[in-house]
Amino acid sequence: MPAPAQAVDKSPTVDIGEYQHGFSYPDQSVFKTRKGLDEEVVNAISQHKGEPDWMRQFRLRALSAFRKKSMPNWGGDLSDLDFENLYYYAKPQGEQSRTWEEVPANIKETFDRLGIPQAERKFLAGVGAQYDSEMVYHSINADLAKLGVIFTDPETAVREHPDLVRKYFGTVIPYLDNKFAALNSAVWSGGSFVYVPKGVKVEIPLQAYFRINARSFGQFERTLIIADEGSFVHYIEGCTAPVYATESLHSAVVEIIALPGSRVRYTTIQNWSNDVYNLVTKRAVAHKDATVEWVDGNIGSKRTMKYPSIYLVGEGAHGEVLSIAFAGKGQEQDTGGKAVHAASHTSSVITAKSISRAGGVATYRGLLKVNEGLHDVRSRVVCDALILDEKSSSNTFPYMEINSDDVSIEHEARVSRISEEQLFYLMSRGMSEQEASVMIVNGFLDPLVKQLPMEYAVELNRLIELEMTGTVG
Amino acid sequence: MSAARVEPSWMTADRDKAKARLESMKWPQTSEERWRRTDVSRLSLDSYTVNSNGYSEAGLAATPREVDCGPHAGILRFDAGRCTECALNGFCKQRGVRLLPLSLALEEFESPLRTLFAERLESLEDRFGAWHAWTWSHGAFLFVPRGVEVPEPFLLEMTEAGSGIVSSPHVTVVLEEGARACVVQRLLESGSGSGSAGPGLLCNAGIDLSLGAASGVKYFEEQRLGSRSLYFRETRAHLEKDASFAGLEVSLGSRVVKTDSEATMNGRGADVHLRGLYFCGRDQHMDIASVQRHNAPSASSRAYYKGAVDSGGRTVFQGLIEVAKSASGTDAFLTNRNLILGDAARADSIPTLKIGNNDVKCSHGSTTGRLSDEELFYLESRGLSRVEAREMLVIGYFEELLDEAPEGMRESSIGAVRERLQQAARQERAA
Repeated sequence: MPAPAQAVDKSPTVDIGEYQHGFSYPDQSVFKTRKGLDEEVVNAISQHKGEPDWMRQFRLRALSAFRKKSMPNWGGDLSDLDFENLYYYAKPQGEQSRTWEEVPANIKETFDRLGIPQAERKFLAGVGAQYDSEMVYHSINADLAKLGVIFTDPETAVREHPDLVRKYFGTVIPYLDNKFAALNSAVWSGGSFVYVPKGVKVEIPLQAYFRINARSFGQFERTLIIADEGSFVHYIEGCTAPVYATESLHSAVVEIIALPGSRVRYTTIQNWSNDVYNLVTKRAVAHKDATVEWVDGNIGSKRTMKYPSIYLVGEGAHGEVLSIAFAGKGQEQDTGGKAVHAASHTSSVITAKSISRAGGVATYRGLLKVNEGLHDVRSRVVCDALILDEKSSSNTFPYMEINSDDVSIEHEARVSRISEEQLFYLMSRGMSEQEASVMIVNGFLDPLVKQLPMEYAVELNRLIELEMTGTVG
Repeated sequence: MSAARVEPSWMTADRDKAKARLESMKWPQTSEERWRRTDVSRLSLDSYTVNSNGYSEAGLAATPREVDCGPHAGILRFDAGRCTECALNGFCKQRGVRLLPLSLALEEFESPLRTLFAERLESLEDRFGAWHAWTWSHGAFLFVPRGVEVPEPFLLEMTEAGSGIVSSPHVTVVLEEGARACVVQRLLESGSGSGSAGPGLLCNAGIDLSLGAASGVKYFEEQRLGSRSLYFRETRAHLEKDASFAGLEVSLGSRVVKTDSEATMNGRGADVHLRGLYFCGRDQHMDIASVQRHNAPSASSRAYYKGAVDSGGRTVFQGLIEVAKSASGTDAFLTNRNLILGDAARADSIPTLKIGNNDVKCSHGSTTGRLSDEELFYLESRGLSRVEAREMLVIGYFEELLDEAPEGMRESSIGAVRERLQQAARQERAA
């Protein structure tokens, strides 16, 4: 029998241009809802996942909240976003696999190009790789499983750990929170579920790769991380997406619960292709003596609106947000961080660095809030922006709401360009203007890049070099 | 209302346009960013009546009494909307400086005034702006001709009165090329603090400053309206090449304050210093905004706002540095400091940047904290009571802003802060 004519073309189908992860394979999803969003679609998603009724009800309540909530009247321009022209769910071929060998070949090939196997060979503890909206590959280091660490997708967690899920799911970010959190709550699919038991310190970072791979297809992953008392975990999420002509929507919800004495670090380098709307709600609750750190890098996407938040609800809690944004041609990075102090003796640090070039718009938007009647609250918010050419712009909107008197709040922001003195100095040492600019930009970001795991730091530097091509400071 | 006036027809037409705009607008909603922290829906704005209780042009029929200038270059005093006293010293008279009620300047200075009112109409930000443009009731006009530098300050004193009514004072200052002037505007309220019933006064003010090339103005505004009043004010300064504007707003009175000071640098090399002092006590709400708008290259601007908020008070500071694509070589800085004096006090600080040019040096800073225990302890160990120590530290905190204020204003502002602190201490003791 003749093979189906070139149905499975092994070569990339799109022109990748500058974008190194810009490739995609023919869409082989085995189940896909129709375009648009209503009760039927939500029910279909829930049914397809074989969910208990409480989760289906939760989705339906969220759908009605989504319809009632208005679009944000601030931030990036979302007017060309058409909710009716998107697919909200697609399940890839093959069931979830436990080992690398079981992953379907063309998906594996996609991951190969992303370098996952190499990374795994090195030191990955568990890999949750997301192809379309389903976890297709998941391995958990046996040692971690022995320690009682749960690292799985949220669908599995709903089935196997319903008590944990029901206790925490949607508690940090209720579906009523904002329009996009409501949307995610209605149609979520995939993501990660992490539970670290009391006193367990996960020495190696947990990583998950996410990919979008269907035309006009929204990705709505849902991540819930629970760090029990005295535990530690570092979770890393990286995003790459193939280049598509139609707009894609990525709207994730990430909830972190840091119980007393625990520490959670969450690192993201977002590099969606430049046609993706990235509208994400990320929030953590830090209980007594807990520490939460967000490291948030935004390189890709068309428009990103993302402000990782920390609610400091227990005494002694500490929160940190490190935010890096790179806005290039046609991009709007509306990013930042929020710290809400709801307990005494709490502290927070928000550090943001942004670069805009080639007409890009980088906006820092953040909130620092101190609730009433607290003592000994300290916070520092620092924003640095670099504008590389006359076409680009940079905005800073730091909101500070202080309701207690025993506080120490500091904020600084600076906007500048690459100084001629610095360029002149480096060029007098024999560098081209291009090399000198790249070096200055890398130096500008260095304090944040240092916070990243090594392979991410390398990738970030490479990406910035790529983005800087053709730049004249 | 225009019918009763002997106003030039262009002014009447502008008022009609403003009225039409007002009717097409709603009161600002908290969903609008500028008004997010000041909810006017509970202020029963529609219940205030316009143009009653003496706020009419009738008062102008009587000529204001000419008084002695004293240490001032000129004086205009208003009482409940009527211009009661005026003065201008010989130096100014000889050099063609004019200081007169605004309504009397409309014909003679049609050209600059028409332009300024038209600009306001074109860029109305909200219903208050339209309301002001429609109903402005009284005000002052200062004109300083080319090259004239007036060393003494001009005093504009407006004593408002009434309850349940709207007063819309408007001040316009026009400086020609190279002219220099200093203006002190004091806004007071008679019969205030008497505890009488009623909603108090709604004052919806506007200030326009048109600053020609290389001219310079210092503008000091002291707002001490009564504790039941509402105060809304929009200041707009337009700067030409190398012009300079140094402003200080002192906000002390009113139960709700919403002010917006915008300096627009349209000429290369313009220089702006915006400063503000706000003291917000129990049951007060102050929402102060500043805008440093750089439309031309090589201009520099500084904004420095310091507030203190006592128990039960709420302050909002919203500062903006906006740099246009064309404004290379911009140097701009914005600082906000807040002192929180008691529990259940709230201070919001929102210093923002919108930068569209890469050849800039822009930054802002903000700090919020309380009085230092060490300093209080030191002063108490020297025999001062807690109340006295607090008073000394708060006044010390504000003093630097008043360094450049003309004599008289300095004392009155500091005196008012002191009085408010003592009043709060008395209330606390009584409670």
